[in-house]
Amino acid sequence: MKKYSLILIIVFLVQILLSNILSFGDIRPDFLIIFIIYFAVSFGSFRGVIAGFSIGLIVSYFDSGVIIGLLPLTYSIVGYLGGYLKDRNYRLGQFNFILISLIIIVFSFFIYTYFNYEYLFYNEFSRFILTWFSITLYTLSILAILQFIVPLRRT
Amino acid sequence: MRSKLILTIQKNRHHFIFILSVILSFILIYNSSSNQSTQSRQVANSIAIFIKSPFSRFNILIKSAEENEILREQLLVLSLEKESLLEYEAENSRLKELLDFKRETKLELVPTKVVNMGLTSTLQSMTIDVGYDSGVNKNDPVLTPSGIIGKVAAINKNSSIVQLISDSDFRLGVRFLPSGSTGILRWRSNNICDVREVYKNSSINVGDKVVTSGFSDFFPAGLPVGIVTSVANDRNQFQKIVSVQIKDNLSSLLFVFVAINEELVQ
Repeated sequence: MKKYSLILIIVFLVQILLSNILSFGDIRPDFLIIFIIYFAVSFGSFRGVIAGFSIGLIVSYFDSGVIIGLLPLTYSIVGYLGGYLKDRNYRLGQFNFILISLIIIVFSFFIYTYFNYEYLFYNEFSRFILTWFSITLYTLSILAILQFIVPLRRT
Repeated sequence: MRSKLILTIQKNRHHFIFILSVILSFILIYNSSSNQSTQSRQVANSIAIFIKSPFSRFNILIKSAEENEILREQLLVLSLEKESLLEYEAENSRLKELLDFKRETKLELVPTKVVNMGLTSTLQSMTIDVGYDSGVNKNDPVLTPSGIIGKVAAINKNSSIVQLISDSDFRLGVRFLPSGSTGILRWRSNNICDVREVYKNSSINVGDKVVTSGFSDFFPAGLPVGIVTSVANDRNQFQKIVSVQIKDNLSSLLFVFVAINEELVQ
C-alpha cells in the first residue's frame, strides 16, 4: 500500500507537469486512470472504488475545465470493474484479461466523453465517436507501452 | 436478522461502496456550478499553480531565448510600420472629427502568464496569473497576437480561469474578411474550427481572414481569430460550413493577453 501511495504521488505530479507536454492537439494522456486500473487489479473492487472516487474528486478540483463529479464517477467505474480482474489472470487467460481491461477503459472514457461532449453525442455523433476514440486510444497506447515494463496481469 | 444484514453488507461491500460513489458523483455533477464548488476549485487551483511554478519558470526560460530572437526581428518591422500607422491614425481621427463619429470601444490589453493547463484528457481551460486586482472581468476576451483563444470564465483576486476556444461549449460570432459574411464558430479538433450559420450565397475563399463579428456583448468587433482553410456547402441546409484554422497551439501557450473593455469597467 505504501508503494502505491508513493506511485500515486509520482503519477499525480507526472499528470500535472507532463500531460501538457505530451498532448496531441487538444488530447492528453490520462495517467491517473492507468494507475487506478493497476490499483484495482491489485487490491480489488472495494479499494478500487474508494481510490477511484477520491483521486477523481481531487483531480476535479484541480482541473477547472471538467465538471466536478465526472471524474469521481469515471474513476469509480474503473476501480469497480478493474477490481473484478483481481486474482483472475490465470482463470481468464492472457487474451481475455487484457481484452477486459481494455473494455473497462474504453467504457469509462465513453462516460467521460458523453458528459463532456453531450452536445456532440446528440447532434454530431460521428465527431463524438472520433473524440471518444482519440482520447481513449492515446491513454490505451500508454497502457500498452507499460505492459512491456509492468504487465497488468502480474500486478 | 441484524447480523445477517451486516454479513450481507460486508460480503457485498464493494457493490454498496460503488453505488454510493455513483450517487455521490451524480450529486456533485448536478451541483458542480455552485458557489461552494467554485471556491474550492480556486483553492485547489492555487495549489496546482504552486506545484507547477518552478516547472513553468523553467519552461519559460527555455523558450525565452528563442522567442527573444523572433521578437527582435518583429520589433524592427513593427517600428517601421508604427511610423506610418501613426500618420494614418492622426489622419483618421481628423476625418472622424469631421464626420462626428461616435468613439469606438477602446481595449486595454493586460499581459499575463499561463500558470495551469488542467489535468484531464481534454484541454478545455487554463489558469492565468491576473485577476480582479488587475481589472480583469468575467467574460473578457483572452487572446494572443495571432487571435482569440478564449474568454475569462471565473475570476479570483490574482488568478482567472479561462474557457478555451477548444471547449465544446465555446461559441464565437465571427466575420469573414473581405466579404463581410458572418457565422458562428466552434471548435472541431487539432486547431481547426467550424463556422456555421453562414449564408450559402456568401463569397468566402480559402485564405480569407476571420475576425470577431462584434455581435457578442463580450467580444468587440475586429479581433483576429484565424484563417479560412476550406469551404463546404451543407447539402441539406441553406448554409455553408467553413473551416477556420487557429494559429496558436493551445497546449503550448506561455503568455496571453486579456482584453479589458475600458467602457465596461467605467
